[in-house]
Amino acid sequence: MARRISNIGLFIVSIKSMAIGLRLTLKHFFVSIGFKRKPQVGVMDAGYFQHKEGIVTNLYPFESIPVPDNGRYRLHNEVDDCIVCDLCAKVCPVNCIDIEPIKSPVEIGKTSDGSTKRIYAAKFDIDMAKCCFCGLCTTVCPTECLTMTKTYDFSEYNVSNMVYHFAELSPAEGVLKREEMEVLVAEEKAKKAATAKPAATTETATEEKTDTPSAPKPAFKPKVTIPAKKPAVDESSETKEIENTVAKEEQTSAEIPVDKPAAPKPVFKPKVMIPAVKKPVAEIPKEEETTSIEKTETKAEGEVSDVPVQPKEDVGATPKPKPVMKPVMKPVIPKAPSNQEQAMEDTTNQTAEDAKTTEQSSSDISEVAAPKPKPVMKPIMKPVIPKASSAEELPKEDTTANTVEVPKPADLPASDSSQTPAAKPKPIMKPVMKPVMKPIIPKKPEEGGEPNV
Amino acid sequence: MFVVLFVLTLILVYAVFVVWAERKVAAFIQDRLGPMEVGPYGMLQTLADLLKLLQKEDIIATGANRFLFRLAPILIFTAIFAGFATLPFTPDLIGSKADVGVFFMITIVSLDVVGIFLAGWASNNKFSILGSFRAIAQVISYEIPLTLSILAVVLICQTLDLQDISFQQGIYFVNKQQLNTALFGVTSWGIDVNQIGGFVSWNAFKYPFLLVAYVVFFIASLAECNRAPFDIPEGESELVSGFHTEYSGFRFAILFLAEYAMMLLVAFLGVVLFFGSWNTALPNIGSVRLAEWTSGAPGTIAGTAWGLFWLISKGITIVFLQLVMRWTYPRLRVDQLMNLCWKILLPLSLFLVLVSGVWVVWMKL
Repeated sequence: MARRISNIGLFIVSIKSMAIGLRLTLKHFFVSIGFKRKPQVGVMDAGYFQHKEGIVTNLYPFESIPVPDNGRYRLHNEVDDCIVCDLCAKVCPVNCIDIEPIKSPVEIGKTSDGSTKRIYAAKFDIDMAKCCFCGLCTTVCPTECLTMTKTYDFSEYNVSNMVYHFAELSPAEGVLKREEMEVLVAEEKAKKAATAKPAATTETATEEKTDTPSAPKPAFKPKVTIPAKKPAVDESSETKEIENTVAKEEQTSAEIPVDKPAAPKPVFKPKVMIPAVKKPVAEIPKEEETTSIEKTETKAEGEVSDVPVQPKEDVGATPKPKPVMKPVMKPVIPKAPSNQEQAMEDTTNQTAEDAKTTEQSSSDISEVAAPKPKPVMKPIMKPVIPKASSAEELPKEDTTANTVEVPKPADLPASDSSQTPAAKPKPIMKPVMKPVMKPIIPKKPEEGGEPNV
Repeated sequence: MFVVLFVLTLILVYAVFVVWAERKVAAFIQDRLGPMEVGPYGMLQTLADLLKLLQKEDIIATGANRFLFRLAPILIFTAIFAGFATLPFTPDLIGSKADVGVFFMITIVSLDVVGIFLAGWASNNKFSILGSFRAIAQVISYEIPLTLSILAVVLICQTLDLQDISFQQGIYFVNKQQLNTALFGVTSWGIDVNQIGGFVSWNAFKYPFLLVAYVVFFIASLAECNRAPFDIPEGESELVSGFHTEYSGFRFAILFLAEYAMMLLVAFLGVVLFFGSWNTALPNIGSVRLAEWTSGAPGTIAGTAWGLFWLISKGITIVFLQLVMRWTYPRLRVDQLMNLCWKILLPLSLFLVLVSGVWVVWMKL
């Protein structure tokens, strides 16, 4: 240092550099206090990183730099469009979404994209304090109701205020709905227990047969598309059948069909279920809750399902009217039950409104199976049946699957009975996937078909 | 007594203003806007900060020496506050007309060092004590060039009384000591600077080498205030906050107030010694008696008002310069600091004292 200072040249240079520095800062100072402030340059501006002049301050509450359109900030759930499928809660890596679904026996309404709402969101809480803003929940949301908004400034003094409530039901309403559902479920169980036992005894023998065919079913799936035409016919036949059968084993038959469709094709279940419930439960006005009942039924009795019995009848009676379809179907006996299910579906579509018909339809299905000319439909259904058994094992999963599927079936009936076949693939996909996957590997091919969803 | 209240009020108002100004200057230098929320252009931001500061808990560390810890801020502020005693604000407004005005101010302000040492020592904190070490080493070192540069002025003015020095730089000077009042000391030109007044009669203009003395004085005073670029006692990047690391709430506010009061004091002292004190900056030019128009005779209200105006406006300008310095130059290292003091400023100030002595003798002031 001493040597440097002794160097006059260096001393002068350092003085000069200090003067330059002072001039620079003073220049900035006097420019800044003048009125030369340049307009704010946002991050979206091409010249943002070449921004060298003017005040750079962003008076935040009054000005803000635009955020990217696809930025991930605060979550928002448009609950009117939410079908409470629970996918977001499942996919969330930090478990910041808390959903408490309450099933509704009847359709609550439609989302803006046409999906049917079957589940109330008694609780739909998103804890933004936990949220890691990964955006996975918005990706999986089937109805696009869960989105990330551009709101990024939502800090709170109390952490509990970071929990956002999107529930559509008030706590009191939630309790009410839940109680209603519980009553319905309890009644359904009681009825099923009573009815299923007798039916099961007769059917048990047939069940074994039905199970075996389930494996081959995947091959039939492609054919499913063909049956689309048939539904119309089926409907007419089904209605007739229903009438005939109504007098007969209404309750018992109703339970059986219900059980089968519930696990595999939630779509169908809701429709069928509703009527079935109503009649048996006639005492209770809560018909809508049947969906839950179905699940419970499937669990308890569904395994022993009556399906086997029906297939026998169907095979004998139904295949004949439809020669073309039958040949394919025939190789697999188990398909018969699927026919029943299809019939159920058809009936559901047609009679969805009628609560009573469901029971009848179920009974009809066994009987109707013969009249139903749609063998094609059956193969599709069958694969589902085995799933039902699996579904029974995993009740929780089924419920979720059902919830998802439920809305769809409603759409189908609304549109047309003929359309139902197309719609069917969707419902099958989601619900079927989970239960089927675990128990039977061969079912996977079906899943492959499911991509339609 | 009036002066005490006046000075206290002045310091408080000034502190509130200059803290805001410091943030604004920093912001503008860095192309920002600074505080804009509280009051127009954020002018009340400091008041809000003060209110917040006063509500803070008064924390005294467990290991601290409670007595010394409490004493230190009082000592620091008292020392600096006492420095204002001999400072002439106007021809009439001065705390003490002591003949040893400058000497008293230098010595009493030096007590500041004791307070800083106590603060660091009593905190029982390594950062605090390190900050104190640095502060003491720095303040004691820089007091030498500071005092020598003042001595140069005292030699020329032949007095330690700051009020006398003030009068010598204005149009109201009564030359009782037969001092040489000619421009640059050249009596043959027949120009009496005290007749012209304004900046012409300022020491820094009348004796140009005193401008160099002022540079030394300014640099040394920055170091005395622990201001950037000589703020290694605080060195927030290394010492957290230096000797006042452990202070909070009101005591911290006092320390902060003392620092800014010190800035104002050295700015005023520099103005009094070199830039005409409370005298006007505008000279009489022929029949245009600017100096007389912009100043009042001693003893009149106009004299007091003009005196305050000129002194404070000059002082604030110097303070602004101090602020700009802070946001222009990087902090010196300890060794650079000492080199600058002992190897540049000290020889330079010694040389200036010598020049002053020669000037006084040569020009027969």
